[in-house]
Amino acid sequence: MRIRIALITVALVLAWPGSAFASSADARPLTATSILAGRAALDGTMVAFEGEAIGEMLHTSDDSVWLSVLSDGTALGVYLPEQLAEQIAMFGDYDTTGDTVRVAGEFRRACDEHGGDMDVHAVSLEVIAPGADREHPVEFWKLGLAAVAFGVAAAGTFYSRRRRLVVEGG
Amino acid sequence: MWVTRTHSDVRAIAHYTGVLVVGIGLLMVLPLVTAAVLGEWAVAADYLAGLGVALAAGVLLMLAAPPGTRLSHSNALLVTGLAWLAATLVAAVPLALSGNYANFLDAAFDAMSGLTTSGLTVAQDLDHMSLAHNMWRHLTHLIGGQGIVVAALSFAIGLRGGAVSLYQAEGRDERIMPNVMHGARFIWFVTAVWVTLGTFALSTLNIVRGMSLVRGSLHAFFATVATFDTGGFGPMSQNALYYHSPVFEFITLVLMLAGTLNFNLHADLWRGDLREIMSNIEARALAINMGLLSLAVALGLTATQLFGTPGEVLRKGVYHIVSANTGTGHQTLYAPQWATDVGGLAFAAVVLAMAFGGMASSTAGGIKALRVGVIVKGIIQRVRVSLAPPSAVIRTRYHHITDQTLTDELLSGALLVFVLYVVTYISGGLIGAAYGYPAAQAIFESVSATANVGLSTGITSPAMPTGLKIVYMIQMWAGRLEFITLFAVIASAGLAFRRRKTRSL
Repeated sequence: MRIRIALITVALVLAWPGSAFASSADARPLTATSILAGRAALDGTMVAFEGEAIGEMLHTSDDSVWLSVLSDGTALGVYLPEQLAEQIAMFGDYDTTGDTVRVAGEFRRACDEHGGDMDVHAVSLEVIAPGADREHPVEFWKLGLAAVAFGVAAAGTFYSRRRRLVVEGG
Repeated sequence: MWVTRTHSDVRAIAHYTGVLVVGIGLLMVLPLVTAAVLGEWAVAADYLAGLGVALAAGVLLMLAAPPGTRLSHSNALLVTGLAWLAATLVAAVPLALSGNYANFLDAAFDAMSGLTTSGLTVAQDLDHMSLAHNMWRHLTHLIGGQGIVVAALSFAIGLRGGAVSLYQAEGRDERIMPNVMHGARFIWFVTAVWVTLGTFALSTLNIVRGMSLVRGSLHAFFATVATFDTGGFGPMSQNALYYHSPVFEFITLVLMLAGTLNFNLHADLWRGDLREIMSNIEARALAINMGLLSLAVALGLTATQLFGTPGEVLRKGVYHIVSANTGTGHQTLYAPQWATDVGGLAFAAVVLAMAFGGMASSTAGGIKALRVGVIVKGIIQRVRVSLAPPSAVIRTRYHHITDQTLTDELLSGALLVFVLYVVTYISGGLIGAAYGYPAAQAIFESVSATANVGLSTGITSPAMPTGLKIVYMIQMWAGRLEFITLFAVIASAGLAFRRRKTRSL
């Protein structure tokens, strides 16, 4: 209960126009890599960071979801209410670059609620750039390499059979 | 006396290495089909090229000698050693073409890591890697975990001569079934049962949690294979942490324990005989080892006050001890946390768990519980001898499949491998430290590579020095083959080089 009250308070503070936190977060959002590097100092504090939503939303037994946000090469788990996450349209994978999101919430170096996982309990999420499809054109030189290699393998097999026939015949 | 290889020996070795390379190549059909089904056409081209290169290299090597050439025991040892290197080079081809690796060496690093079921990775942008490439990475665990030679034997692709020698040279010195081929097939049968059960359980969990049918099922298969084969790769950069699920961790914990079980014990379990597992020295040694190290990690984590709750001790302590002890390497911590967040005692416990390893004749690496048990029995015997009257005859007996008496030969064999592992752990650690990494982290990474575990403090990365990548690759190779096979390859190469040099003088 106390955690919920704290989160609501934090949300109100964040939403307050011109609040000190909002202005500092607007000025210089962190990356997941910098949060990981500064985990001891940031533990239990409010952080804001930007990154690509990857994989998918993973539902939990309550009405919350887990979201992975990739920024600066590090993916960080974000725990948030499902309604907040619903605005994400695209998640990053081989075919897709996911939406870029800006997440604000409490950073927990070892979350007691989640078995010691390092996570961010988000109080706000904003899609700041839409995702896009990733193009993967077929590189035809690879097909050429395959053709040459299959040719060598076929020639080798043919030679081997012929040699065996000669040995058996002679 | 050193036996040098004749031309016909070299030809036989090349022929059988070629057979195994062709086998590895044919397995690339699976990721090729995956890519085609998922419409990943650019990736399909990678596997078409990889398959072609493997078949060409394999067929050319096979031309060295006619089919059916006999293979002596010592030549079988060399084939096994070289097969792992050749398989690594061939398996790396499609990975190198994927665009997820900086160069061929990095792709070969992951291929060696996959085949030896280590799980250390230098892949880039793993979160955007195609499912077909992930299929191949995880299949390398399956191929390597069951053993390349076992795989070839199972599918009977032409290893007629010297099958027993090949089987033993791959670090499987115990016969599960009277017939080697039956033994190889039993290993695949056990694997198929566990992989089916694990994939079904994890697929259900993933789909219930919102993953699509395809991604959920493939992730489940990847996690199952990586866990049962004690590999440790994952399709996401966060590894097991991506799922944030105690249920996922419980299922993988069961799979890790199943994966580290000696295939002989699997055979007993299959027959419904629990007596063997209760009395087996290896099972007892592993249980005591895991119990003590879990206690140590619990005390260590509690002392940090960062991971003090029972849930945290279980999910961050016991999970990682089992992951380390079984040689799996799944982790739910970020790599840099090992050095700073878990505390000294928990860090040391995880290093010891990795170093000791799982059971012999399983997919696990490390010194192995059987050897640890034999060495402890040997120490107890020496103490008993020192306390007994000079005329007393002290015999120590233990149970492993059958009742056995501890002999000096058994003890010295266990000690020899123990010493080789420890020397390699320390040597790799010193090399890592020489590259400028903190000593404790360098030792952690070295033990992880040699014992084929895959836990990482963050040293293993694409930015790691090239020399260190090669050192870890050699450590993974040596650890998987338990040294002697690799030494045989090196000695034979050295002898051949010396003979050529002598001739040219």
